[in-house]
Amino acid sequence: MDKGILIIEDETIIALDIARKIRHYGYSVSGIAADESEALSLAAKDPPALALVDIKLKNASDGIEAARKLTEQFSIPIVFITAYSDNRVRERAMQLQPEGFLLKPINRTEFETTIKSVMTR
Amino acid sequence: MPADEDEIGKIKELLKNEPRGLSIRQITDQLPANRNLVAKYLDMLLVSGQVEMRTVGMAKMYYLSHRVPISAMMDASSDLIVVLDENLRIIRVNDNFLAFSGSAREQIVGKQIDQDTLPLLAASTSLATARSAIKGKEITEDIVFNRSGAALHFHAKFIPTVFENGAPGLTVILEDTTDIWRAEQTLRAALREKEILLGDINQRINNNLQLVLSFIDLQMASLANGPAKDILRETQNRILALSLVYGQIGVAHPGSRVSLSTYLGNLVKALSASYEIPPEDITMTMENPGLTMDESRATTAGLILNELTSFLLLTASDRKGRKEITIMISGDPSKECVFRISLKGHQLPANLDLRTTEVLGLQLGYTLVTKQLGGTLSISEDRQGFMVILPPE
Repeated sequence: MDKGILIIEDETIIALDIARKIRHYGYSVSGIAADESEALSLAAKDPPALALVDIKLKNASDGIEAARKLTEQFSIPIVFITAYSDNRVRERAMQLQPEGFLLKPINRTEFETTIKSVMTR
Repeated sequence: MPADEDEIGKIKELLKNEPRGLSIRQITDQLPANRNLVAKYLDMLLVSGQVEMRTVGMAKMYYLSHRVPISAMMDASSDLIVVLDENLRIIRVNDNFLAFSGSAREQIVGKQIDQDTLPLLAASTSLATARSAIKGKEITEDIVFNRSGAALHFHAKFIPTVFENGAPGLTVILEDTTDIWRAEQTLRAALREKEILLGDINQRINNNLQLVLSFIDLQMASLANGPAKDILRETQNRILALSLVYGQIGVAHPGSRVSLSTYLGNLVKALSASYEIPPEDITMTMENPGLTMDESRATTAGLILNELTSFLLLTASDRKGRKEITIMISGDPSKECVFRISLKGHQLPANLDLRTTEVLGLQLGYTLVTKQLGGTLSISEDRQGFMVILPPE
């Protein structure tokens, strides 16, 4: 079975909406995590093909730090989805060389293109 | 010599009352002192720079010097001032410097700069700067001096100086900028705090907009195609039109100018995704790609574009084949701005009246154009769409 996509997002409704879109594109969702520890635990159990990572997570958890650990421990490609538009956050995230950096509210076309381009590689 | 000082004081008093000057004889006539003594006192005053002399015919006229002694100048300054010779020996310091260093003048004058005499200038970098400046080039540098655990900040000017005998020297003027530095630090911290706060507000707004859009998305997914789904889509697109402006400028910079090509370009992409129309079927042409609008006007323009485009796509929803939307924007901020929005091959109903229409999207579009922006909205001559004319900003 193909690897799925891990959604790391602390807003349940947004996570469900993203999950629905992913399934609509024909991919599976390997899990939804609300913070870093949950994300690492889910990735260890079922390594995903891609992680969609929000930057501000539950329990004051930092999405960029979570993404760094996912990359180091599991070599998982990362796409950030964030409501932060300021340059300092973007620069910090870009140091991890993510596959994408998408701003909320999500542009559907951009979202679909980014997901498909990573998953078809 | 108190007696001499007394006589000198009397001579200075006489000269003060006679700005055109007095000869030795005129002074001798008014003082109980002989000519030789008066001449000697005048020589002393001449040498110390307190008195000047000019020759008028055969007579030498003495008057009080208009020059201000350098020591008086130095002591009047609020800065710390030190004069050094070419070997960096201290020649003169002002009272402020002495007060700062806590030394007596006689303890440091004539001595080399070191940690004991002038610790403020004893750092190797400052000594190197002083040696460079003596060669003839004025140098400024900021010095941080730690005293009793507190960092003191100085702005130092190293000014090449030539003494009366022609020997090179150096005057160092140190301005205590500690209070300015602290005020700047406080201001920077306040600005950082403001940026963080605004960034956080921006993040919350965008996140909440996403949350609302996700709610609508999930609701739409549970509905079959039909009027209810169309209403939700229209609502979602209105929210998107607003959120795209914030995505471009954020709330951190209210009053910012918004690039219409970026904002409306993104809006058009969002509309094509929302109505599942191939992106190439909605084309936007801008006569002036650099056109900008103020944030509030741009938001309204985006909502208008959204309503009119949505109306065209919804009224043509039953039509088979491609639905090609063309949006043309012309104008500049100082002139009127014109939007032409049309659907190729489409004909608006002959009885459509924009002022009395019952269609919510058109009512909103008409009100936003006419009431909010003071423009006009009309049906285009070919009836394939609309023309919006917005007045100059």
